Amino acid sequence: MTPAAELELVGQARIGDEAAFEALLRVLLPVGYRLACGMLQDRQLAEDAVQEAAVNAWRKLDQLKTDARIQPWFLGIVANQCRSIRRGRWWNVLKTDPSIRPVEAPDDRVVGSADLRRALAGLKPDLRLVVILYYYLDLPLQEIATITGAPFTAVRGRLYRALKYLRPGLEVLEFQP
Amino acid sequence: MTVDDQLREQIHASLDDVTEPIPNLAPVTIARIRASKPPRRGWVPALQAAGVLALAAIVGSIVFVSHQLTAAHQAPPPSATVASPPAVASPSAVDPTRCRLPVIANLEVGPPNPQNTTQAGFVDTATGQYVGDASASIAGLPGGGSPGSGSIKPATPPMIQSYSSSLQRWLPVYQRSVAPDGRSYVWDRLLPAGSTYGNFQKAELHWFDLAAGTDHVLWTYPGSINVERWDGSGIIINTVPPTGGVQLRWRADPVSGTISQLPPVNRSEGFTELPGDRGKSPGLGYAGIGTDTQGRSIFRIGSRQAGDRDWVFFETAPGQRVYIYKGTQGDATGFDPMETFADSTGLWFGDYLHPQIWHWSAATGLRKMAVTGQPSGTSTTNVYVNPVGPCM
Repeated sequence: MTPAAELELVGQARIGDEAAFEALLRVLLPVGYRLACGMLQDRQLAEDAVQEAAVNAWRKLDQLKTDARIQPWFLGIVANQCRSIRRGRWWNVLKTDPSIRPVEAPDDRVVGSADLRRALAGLKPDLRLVVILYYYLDLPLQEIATITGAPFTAVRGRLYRALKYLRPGLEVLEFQP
Repeated sequence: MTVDDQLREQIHASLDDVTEPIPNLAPVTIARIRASKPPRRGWVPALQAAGVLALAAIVGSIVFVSHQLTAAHQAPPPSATVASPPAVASPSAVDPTRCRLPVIANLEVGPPNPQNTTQAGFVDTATGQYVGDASASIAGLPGGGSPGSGSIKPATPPMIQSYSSSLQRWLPVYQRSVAPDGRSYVWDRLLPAGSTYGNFQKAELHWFDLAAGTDHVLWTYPGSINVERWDGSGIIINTVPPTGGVQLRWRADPVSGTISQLPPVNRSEGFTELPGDRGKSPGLGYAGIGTDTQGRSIFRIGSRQAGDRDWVFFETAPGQRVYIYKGTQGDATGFDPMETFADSTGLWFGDYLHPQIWHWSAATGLRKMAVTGQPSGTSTTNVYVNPVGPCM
C-alpha cells in the first residue's frame, strides 16, 4: 500500500468509514498476527490479541497523529495487547508450565527451532519485542523505535542485549538502521 | 551470509512453525468490531473529505519528497476550456432559529441492540425536529463515490453528500465542490475509465450544470484531482501525480475558464501556533473541521482526554484568532463538534456525542439546539446530524 493510499484510507476511517478501516485491516492483521504469534507463541492467544488490538485501534483511531503511519501504531497496540495477555496468564504459566522459563544459553552454533522459540520466550518482553520486530517482521530500527515508543539508541541497546542473551559469545555487528 | 542474516533465517524458520499458515482474521475481526459499540467519529482526525484528501496529499508530498523535481516537471500547461456562471452567492435573510437545515442523519435505533442507519433529511431549527426526506435521491447525477485503490481499498458507490438549497436537490458531492450559488458542481474521475487509484494515469475534472443538466470536461491532468473548495475566487483544487509526489495547487476561474497554479501550502501554515496551544501534551493535536464562507479554516485543538483544553477558532490574520469556543473537554457546555458547515447565517456544527446541533455567529455566539426524531415503528432514537447544506 502506498503511503498516499494508506493516508487516504486512514482519513476515511477516521470519519467513520468502516470499509476503509476494513481495507486497512486486511493489510495490518497478518503482520499483527505474526507479531502476536512471535510474542505469545500460541496461535489462539495470538488471534485473540490481534482481534482485540483491531477493536481497540478502531476505537482509538482518533489518537493516531494525522501524519503518522498506521502500521507502527497498530503494532504498538498489538504489543500492548500481548503484554496484557501474558500478564493475565502469568499465574497459569507459573502453575502449569514450568518449561516456559528463562532458559540457559542455547548452543551458539545450532539452535533448534523449538529451542530458539523457548529462548525467545525466555527473553524479557521488551527485549523479545525488539527481536521479533527486527528479525521476524524485518522492520528497520527507526520504525521499531516508533512502535515501542523508545529512543532509537535504546532499541539498539535492547537488541544487543537480547542477542547476547540468545547467543552468548556472538560478535554482534552493527544493526541495520 | 552474515551472522545477522543467519539468525534472521533461524528466527523466521522457528516462528513460522508456529505462525504459518496465517489465518484469515479479517472476517471475524470485522465482526467483532461491528459487535462492539460503534465509536463516535473522532474529531482530531475528523477532517471532512476535503481536509482528508488535502492532508493526504500534503503528507504525501512530504513522504514522496524525493519525487519533487520529477513531479514539478510533470505539471502540464492548463487546458481549461469551459466557463461557468459567476459563482457568487446571494443569501437572503435567514433566521437560524427558524429555518430548515439539510442534514445527513445517523439514526441510532434501540435499545436493545442499537442499530445505526444513515439518511438525508432536514432539521427544523425552531423545534429541533428531524424529518427524513423519503424522496432524497441522487439518481442521474454524475460524480461522487470513490474508485478505490484496487485490492487495497474497494470502490464506494456515490452517496448523498450535500444539498443545493437553490435547486432543492441532494447532491453526490461534498459541499466544497458545489458552486456558491448551488446551481452547479464539479466532480472528477480517473482515466482510463474504470481505473482505480492504484492504476490510473490521469484524471478529468468535470463541471456539471445542475439547472441545465449538462456536463462538461473542465480539465484533464496526469494525476489525481482533489477539489478543496469553490468560493468567490474560483475553484481551488490540488493535484498529486499517480505514483505520489508533490502536491500542486490550482485555481480554476469559472468565468474565464483559465486554470492557474497557486503557491504550495506548507502544512504548518494551517494556523499560527501560540503559547499555550500544546497544553500538557508534548505534541499539538489539531484538526481542521471545515471553513467559513470566506474560506477561512476552522480549527479545533486539544484532545478528547477529559480535562484537556478544547478550543475551536479561526484566524483573521496570522496569530489573530476568533474563538468560537474555548473550553475544556468534557465540560458542562458539551460542545463536541463534528464538521462545520458555513452559510449566510454563520457556522453550523454537528455533534459527536449528543443528538444536537450548534450554531455560531459573531453576533450571537454559540448556541445549542437539541435534535429529536422518531422514525415510525421504533421506540427510541437518537439522531446525530451533520449539516450539509445552507439553512433555508
